[in-house]
Amino acid sequence: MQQMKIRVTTILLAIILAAIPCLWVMAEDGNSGQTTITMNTESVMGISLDQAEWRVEGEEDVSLNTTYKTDLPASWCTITNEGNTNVTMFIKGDDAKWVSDPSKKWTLGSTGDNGKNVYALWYHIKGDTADSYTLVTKDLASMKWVKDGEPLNLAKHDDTQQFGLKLLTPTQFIGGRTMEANITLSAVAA
Amino acid sequence: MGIMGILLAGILALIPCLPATAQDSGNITITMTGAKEFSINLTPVNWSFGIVTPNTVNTTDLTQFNLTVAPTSTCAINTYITGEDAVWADDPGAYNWTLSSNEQNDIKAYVLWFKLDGEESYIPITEGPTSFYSGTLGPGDSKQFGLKLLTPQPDFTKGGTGYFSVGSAIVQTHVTISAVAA
Repeated sequence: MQQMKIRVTTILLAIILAAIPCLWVMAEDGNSGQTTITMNTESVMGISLDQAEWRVEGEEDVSLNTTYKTDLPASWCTITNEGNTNVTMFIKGDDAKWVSDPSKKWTLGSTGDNGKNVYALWYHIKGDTADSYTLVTKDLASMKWVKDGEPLNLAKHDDTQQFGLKLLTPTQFIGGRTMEANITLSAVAA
Repeated sequence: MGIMGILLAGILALIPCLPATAQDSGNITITMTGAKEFSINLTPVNWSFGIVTPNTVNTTDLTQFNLTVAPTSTCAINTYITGEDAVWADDPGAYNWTLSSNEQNDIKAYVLWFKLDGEESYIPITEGPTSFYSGTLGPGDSKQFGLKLLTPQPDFTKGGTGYFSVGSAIVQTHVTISAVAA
């Protein structure tokens, strides 16, 4: 009987010892190993616009204190990421100058209000809150979505975004003059 | 006759005692089969090829990676290697490179090979398991190896230079070595 007790004890001990490596393997999931491989890509920047000109009323004259929208209010102009850098879009406007004498101009307002020889300009991004417009000023500003306040980004090559413009003519101006303004869209690495 | 009778009686009296003497000890047979347990370790767990350009071959040293079978393992093992598609770390669903299965790169398709230190040739890594070492590895064994990467063809060209669609980006993949008891 004494011999039996000793044997049983020995067997239990052996099982415990044998189980130790088993537990370690299970804890470490040791039947596979993995390595993470990373590669970094080169960057290049570039954007394109598929519109270069907006003739507000075509060959017709514009009226005082009147709002005009591009014929496609949300998708008049397409911005395309021609590079591969994640870029944020910026926009700035300028005074509209008489082509015959650039010293004569309509000032681009900074409040959205028009006035005597003061006009206003806005943009609307396709997919943004319906009929929402953001003011364009002479200060370079990040283009942002009205719906969430996030900047307008084009993350990778061939990503596109579309927008339209809205313009409010001055309350007073001298007619018969062709006025020209430039809008600048810039891409900055996000 | 009287004496014989006494002896016979004594023998008969002892008969029940003989089996009792045979049962004074017993044997127990214990049978155990050692489990096949093993563990492998692959190092390093991270590796960067740095900046890569389209359609180019990039290699590591043949001692860059090391697979070791834990000395505490109890059996020999067979090993297998697998790869997977590479994804843009910032947005895996938006951009990826497929791991080629025919050693040919393409637009958005890359090729990966491995080569054991001391061996002659590179062996392609695919999404399916490929034998990593032709023999078995035992406890304490290790194998060093290197990788060769052929990047995809360019997504677009600008100014005569090819680029991927995502710039200044990290594209990430995993190489896994698995083992089964031989």
